Amino acid sequence: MSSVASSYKKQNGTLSISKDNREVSWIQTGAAAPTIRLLVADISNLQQTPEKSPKVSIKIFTQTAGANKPEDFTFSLTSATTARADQAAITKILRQEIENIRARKQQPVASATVPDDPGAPPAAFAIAQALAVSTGSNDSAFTDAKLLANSELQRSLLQSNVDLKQRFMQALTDKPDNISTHQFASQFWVTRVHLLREHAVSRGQTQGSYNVLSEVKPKNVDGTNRLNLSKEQIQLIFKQHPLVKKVYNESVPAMNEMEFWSRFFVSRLIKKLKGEKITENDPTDPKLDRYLSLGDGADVPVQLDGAHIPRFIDLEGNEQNHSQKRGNAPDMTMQPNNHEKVPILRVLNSMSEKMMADTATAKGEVHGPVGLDEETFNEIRLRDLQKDSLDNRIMLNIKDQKRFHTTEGGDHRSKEAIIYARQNPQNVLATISNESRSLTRFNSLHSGLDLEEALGINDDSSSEDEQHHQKRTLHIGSKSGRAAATKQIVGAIRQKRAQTDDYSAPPGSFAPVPFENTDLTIEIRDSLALTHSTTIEFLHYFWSVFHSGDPERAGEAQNMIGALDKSLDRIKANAKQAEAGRRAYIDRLNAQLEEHFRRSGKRKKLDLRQAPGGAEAVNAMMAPTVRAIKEASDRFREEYELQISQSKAVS
Amino acid sequence: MVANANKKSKEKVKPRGREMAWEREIRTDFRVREGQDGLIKGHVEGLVEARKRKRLRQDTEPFQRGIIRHVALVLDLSEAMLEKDMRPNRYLVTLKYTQEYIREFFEQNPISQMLILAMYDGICIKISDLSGNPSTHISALIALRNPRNPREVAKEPKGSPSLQNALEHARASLHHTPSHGTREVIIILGALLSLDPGDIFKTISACVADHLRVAIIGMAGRLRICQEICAKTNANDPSSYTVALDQTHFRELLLATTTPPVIRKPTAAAQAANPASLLLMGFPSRVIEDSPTLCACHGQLTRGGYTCSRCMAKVCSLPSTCPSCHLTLILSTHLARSYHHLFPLRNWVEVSWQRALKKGSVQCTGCLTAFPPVPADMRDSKGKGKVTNGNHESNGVNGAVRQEKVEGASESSRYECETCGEHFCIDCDLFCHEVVHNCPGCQSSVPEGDVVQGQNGAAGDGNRMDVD
Repeated sequence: MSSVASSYKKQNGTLSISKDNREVSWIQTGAAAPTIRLLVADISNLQQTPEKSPKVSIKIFTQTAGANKPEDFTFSLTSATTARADQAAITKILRQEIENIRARKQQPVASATVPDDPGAPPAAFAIAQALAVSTGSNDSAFTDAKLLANSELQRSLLQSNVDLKQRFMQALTDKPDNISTHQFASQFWVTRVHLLREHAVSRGQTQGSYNVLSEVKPKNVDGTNRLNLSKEQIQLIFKQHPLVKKVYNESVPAMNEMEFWSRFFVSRLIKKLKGEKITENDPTDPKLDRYLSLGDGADVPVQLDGAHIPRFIDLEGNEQNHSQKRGNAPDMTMQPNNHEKVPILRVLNSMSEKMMADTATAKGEVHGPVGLDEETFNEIRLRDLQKDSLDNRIMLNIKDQKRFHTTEGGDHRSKEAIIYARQNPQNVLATISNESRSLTRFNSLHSGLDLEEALGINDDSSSEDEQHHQKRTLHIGSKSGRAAATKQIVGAIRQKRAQTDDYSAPPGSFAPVPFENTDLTIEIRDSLALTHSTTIEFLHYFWSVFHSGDPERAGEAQNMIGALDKSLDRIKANAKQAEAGRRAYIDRLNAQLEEHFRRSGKRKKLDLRQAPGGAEAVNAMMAPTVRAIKEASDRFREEYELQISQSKAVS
Repeated sequence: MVANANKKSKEKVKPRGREMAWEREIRTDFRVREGQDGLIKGHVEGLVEARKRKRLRQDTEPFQRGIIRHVALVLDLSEAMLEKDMRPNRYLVTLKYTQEYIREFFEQNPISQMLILAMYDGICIKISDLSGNPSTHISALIALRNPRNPREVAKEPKGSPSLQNALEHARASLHHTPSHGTREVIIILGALLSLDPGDIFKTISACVADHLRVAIIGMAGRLRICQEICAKTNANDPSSYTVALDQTHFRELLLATTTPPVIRKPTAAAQAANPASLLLMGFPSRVIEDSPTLCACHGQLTRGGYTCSRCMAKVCSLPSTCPSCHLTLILSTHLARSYHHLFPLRNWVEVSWQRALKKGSVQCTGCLTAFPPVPADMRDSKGKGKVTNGNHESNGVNGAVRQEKVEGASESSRYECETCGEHFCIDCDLFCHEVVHNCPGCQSSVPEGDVVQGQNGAAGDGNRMDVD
């Protein structure tokens, strides 16, 4: 709660904001109850005196849901020394809270309402998004709103996911100033709410309880018994065996804790608790053995609560009609009082009961007139005798699939097929045989066709010659023509090799090229990668705003376009820096060569293979990103102009 | 006596042919019979063919299936996986088959997505994120035993599994997936226990409410709770719970889940709550670039990619969701490849000598391999084939069954497609059903104008759905 000294209508008092930032109140000095109480949600506008003016005051405009006229309240801050700071503090809190409220209001609107202005993007998208986001679930813990409000969870997810953290931090620093941190963060998490949910669940997992005494075993290391006992395990032991807790409480202050556990794990007591038989050879322990006689009195198992067993399957009730009473005695393990001989059975049973007690279903009223509710009835029905459930699979009625390969009605043949159909086969055959004869006739020595001749290759022609005769350059067999063909083929092979050389990616997809293979310096590379990821983040933000079709968010979209323009500037700056680096390198190299030439008199060739990439390399690498930014801003401008012209036409 | 009586009645109830592998008698019909010509060649070939065809015999009824799948594959990394009943142990066998499975899964379901979880030491851990790229999953699996970060230690099975934690984790991970796709959980369970922190029945009902469908492949024995989970989440059909008898059976069961699950007819209420929706999809064009550029999806350099048809961002692999404008991007071939689950190629039928004689087929329509000629004695009794055992075969063609006939294989080594009536060899039969999922005979025949062969008109009979 923050409160500052202020005056309202010339009367001194205190202006304060409630702890949950929901309410602004002003209380006159000496008065018991506040004179003015304003809900932050009702505030429609906020004004403050300019920084240079000597008077410091805040003007709050409110519009309550019922009232049709806005009201305004002016508070002058009266503190002689800190008035300016007070004003800043109050307005900051209020502004943040108002933004929060607006952001909260926008969330459901963005996905649920379909805008009715004609220029808005298709409604289908909004529907598809709404479908994707909210597929009904009644888990209160996993609702999007809860997850988005849980900033502790978000922080923990950022901690565990380094990539995400880096992306978040970078985008946060690069975000445009007129979007608040809160707004940005909520937008960031709205698109990643599934990650939050997953993280919440994986964090909230607990292990089931287990028979802890049988799990903990002293290990024999270098002749001495070592015991690894975690805090959780000790707690579990106390929970499962109240007797141990009692022993521990009574003996530990006197005994060292370490000593207690080491003695406990070799004592007769633990053997008893585990249900093992105690033999004469077991070491005795004067302190712990006192509790042996206490038996399990302390930890009589919490019986499965009888209230939860429906009468229908209450075995206790069958006791009266017990066939075994008349003849066959029950198995020795099933008889009462016989457990001293095989203690382990009893111990295991009681252990299981204790463990099950934690997980037992808390069913509702099962002591109704019939003694069981519908769910219980379903549970104990004899399903083996039940009929199979109805086959409710949906059969597809397939029509002749061949139909799909032809066009609907009419002529389904291709254009070429139609042309061929018009030909007279005899004529065609005659033409072909004529042509082939004329080809082979020239070179009767070789059977077949002389390709060199057919192309008209002339090795004597030189490229200078060709330059004089412009029209001859089109000739296929010319030197330059052949050179161009070779170059193209080799280039294509090289590219194909680069594409398919990496077998790490499945065929048809593209294997990532390690960043080290580019000739950019590390700093440029890292900076580009960061710029790229934030740009994508902004693009995502932009498109989700753009496609929401919410006219109220037009301002946000404009902000994002501004941010994207800044991204472009950042890329340009990177390109500049890279180019400067490259220039510097080349200059240095040139100087070295000059030096070498002066000393040895031999000129060495400038080797640019080691030079870092310049602006060209940066631009090549970022080409798709730049293209995507351009597309976004183009689409925005187009839409913007359309809306403007429409609104003009209406007015 | 009581015990004996029980035993007897049990034996009576149990349908024959359903006994477990270890209960079965040692096969005696393994002997090879001689043919009339005194050679065993015919019979051996028949046996080979029968074994090949056994793989094909499956339900080819066309059902509506969910071809856009979201699958959480849950591996068991509990102590039970160190058992050596599979060689070298269950854990390694599972890892090996899972890698194979992932490749096959995405081959069969290119527009589906998967994530991998593991039950490890009482809790559920994530191995890979939901994605449609098989290589990320496979490398994550490899990283289990060979961590990329040298400081990490290789993961070996530890502790107990928890079905509840696994289901909860899978439920949360699949919670955001759109309603037009399926949400499936496939659990490989080696242990015979589940150590849960709470009430698993609550989790099961939550899974049912979230439309999760669970399939469990056991490695040890049937567990009641698994049956319960599978039945409850699959409209009371527990058939998705299977238990592997041995290593090869385990592999078969795992690969069987590559077929998408059938869609059940929704209740009226469910249909109203989730009406059919329009799904926007982009079919981006593939571009190849001279120099590597950054992709929007991973921020990696690639020498090419696909340009989103809406926002022009570059993604490096398909199918995926555009990282910038959230459009679903796929290739049309992906859709086509998923289609064969909806329109399965009908099984081809065995051809009797008589039918072969009637059709006069001498070579396979697919590969032009010559068929064995019709035997002389069959040719003599042209038209009036003696039906030796009145056995009407499934294709309605009466066949004189020869002695060498092996169950499942065709006596004439021909297999007929009932739609186009062409004959094929066994290898083409396998190839067409397992790989191409189309019949070369039907594809190459001339379409008969616009004749629609469907039995009923557009209205359908309510139970059936018309597909165009």
